[in-house]
Amino acid sequence: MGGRVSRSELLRRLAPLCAVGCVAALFHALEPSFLGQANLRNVLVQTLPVALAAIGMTFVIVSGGIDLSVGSQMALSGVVAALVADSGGGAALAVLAALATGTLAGLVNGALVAGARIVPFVATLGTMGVARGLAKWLAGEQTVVPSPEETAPIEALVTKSLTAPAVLGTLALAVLMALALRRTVFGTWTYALGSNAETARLCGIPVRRLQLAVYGLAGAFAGLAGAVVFARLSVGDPTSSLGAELDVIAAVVIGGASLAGGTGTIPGALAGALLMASLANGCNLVGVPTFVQEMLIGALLVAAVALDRLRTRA
Amino acid sequence: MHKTLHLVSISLAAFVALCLLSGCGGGSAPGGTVRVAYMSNGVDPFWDVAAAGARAAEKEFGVEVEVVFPSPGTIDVQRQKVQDLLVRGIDGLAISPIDGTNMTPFLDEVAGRVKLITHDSDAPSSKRLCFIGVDNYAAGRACGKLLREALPNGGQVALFVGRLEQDNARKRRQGVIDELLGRPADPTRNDAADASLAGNGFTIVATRTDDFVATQAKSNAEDILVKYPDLAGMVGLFAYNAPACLEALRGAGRVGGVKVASFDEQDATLDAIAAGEVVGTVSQNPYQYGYHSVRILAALCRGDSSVLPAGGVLGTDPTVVTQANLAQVRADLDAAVASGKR
Repeated sequence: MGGRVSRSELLRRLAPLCAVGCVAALFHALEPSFLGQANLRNVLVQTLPVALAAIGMTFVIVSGGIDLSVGSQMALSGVVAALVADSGGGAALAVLAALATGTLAGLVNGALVAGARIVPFVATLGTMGVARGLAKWLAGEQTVVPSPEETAPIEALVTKSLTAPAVLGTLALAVLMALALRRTVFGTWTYALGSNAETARLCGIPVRRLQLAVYGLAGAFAGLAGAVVFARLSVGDPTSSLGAELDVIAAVVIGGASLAGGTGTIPGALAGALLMASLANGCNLVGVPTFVQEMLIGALLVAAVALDRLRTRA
Repeated sequence: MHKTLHLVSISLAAFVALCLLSGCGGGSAPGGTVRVAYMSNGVDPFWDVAAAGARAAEKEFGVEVEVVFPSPGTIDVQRQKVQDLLVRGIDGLAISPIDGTNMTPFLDEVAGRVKLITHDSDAPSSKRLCFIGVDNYAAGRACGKLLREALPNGGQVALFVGRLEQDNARKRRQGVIDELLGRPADPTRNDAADASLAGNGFTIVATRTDDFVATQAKSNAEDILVKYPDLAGMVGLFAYNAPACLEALRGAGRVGGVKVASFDEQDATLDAIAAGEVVGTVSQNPYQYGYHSVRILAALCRGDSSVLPAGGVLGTDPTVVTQANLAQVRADLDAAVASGKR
């Protein structure tokens, strides 16, 4: 954390970015429009939901936890945002409502893990179902469709240009969170908790409050991701983002995090998310069928972890 | 003590087994009310209109109808919902099978226990008693004709659909392609998804599937627009596809530059027809699906099989919706939905 970085650590951090570069070069050679401005915008916007959720998930995984409810939280937040927009609340209020919903859901996870001492895997497996069911209930098992006038300002957050507000906002938040993770006491404690929970406790780190904060933060980012999905679809769909938690976890792991906790970075997670989205988008452009894309991304995940193992052993 | 427990558990198991074998707990509710279920292949506003038809028939024919929308619309979930219904006890089921071919053995099993009919998408080789739906091939041709008339000079066309495993999706796609390419009618034709097809001034550049994932549907449309800067037409084969294409076109600033033809009558599609952003849509009249499904099931469950259509297929007529008849279609739709409200 902070200070000088060894050469192998530098390599480890740069690997996901290098992979993005390689994939971009490959697809550009196969299909020149890949690096065109229109497609770059598409890739960025298609990356956003997973990237946003991955920022929060990085904190959870670094702390040695896991959050399986992220996809359901995204759907729930998206539905709430759509309901707010539908009742004439406007874009800002809709995004805020999504943020609040996600944060609340995250805090429930935190309370279960830190307060009730339930293993994160089980606690968030439970809330995954609860949040999904809640989303369907609120939406009346339908998609929530606000009028075009109400969704237009929200859609504007993700459309038009490379510098769409949602893209810039995500970048700004990523920088902020990367600093929080590497340069603040909160970040240092998170790494310490993930490296060795017992030692962290003995060192006087307030483990329970820290866990509550970490899961709350993950929920907040899932909420924002849900708002972006709503902005992209212009409808609140309670069945959206099904299985998204696995994409989010994959992005964080491809970015160099270990599920055992104690390692992982925000830039790595973002690169992981970008890598997965570029692969899917590039395959679409070149005309590779969806099932091959799924196999490629699966293989990429395993390869990323295997490479990491080899390097740490060497 | 242990022996007693053992005995109790064996008797319980035997009782449950007997119940299952004899169908106890299933069948008609007390008083002889016929109970039927109407099941979709997922959640969509399209199915709300169909459900309204089922509700209207529920009142008219004095039966009890349970409307079930599997969510998410996957084969597993759909099978589970059917099994749940069988356990709770129904007399008849109308289902839109997600994968008619592969679900045939399962559907045969269901047909052995309750009156089974299909609607919207067929499982032709199963033991279902009849199928209610539009001729999807003809509907596809009607959709292709809309686009052909909007693009007299032809051009590149891309197709978008949830999945091609469904019988209705395959036939619709083939109808659109055959119409654009000016081929003679042949509902049994089946071009491979990645086949390169050209004729009559048109080139079919791609058919993209999204597994009913809305974000994927939009990404597919966005990616095609990047890859084919000269794209002339987009066809949305499922209700949500054309709205997703429109969203992508808005993002790319190409609304109007690419002609869109659609299926079904989502609000977004009808609004876009009014605004001239979609050339037209082919409505399957889902209200009729719901209404006729319940009408036929009600009679079948009461022992009257004279309601079965000749050849086992009840074809409903598709309606081609353009700016010319939009107002009338909307009024009819509103009236239909209002009549189905409980």
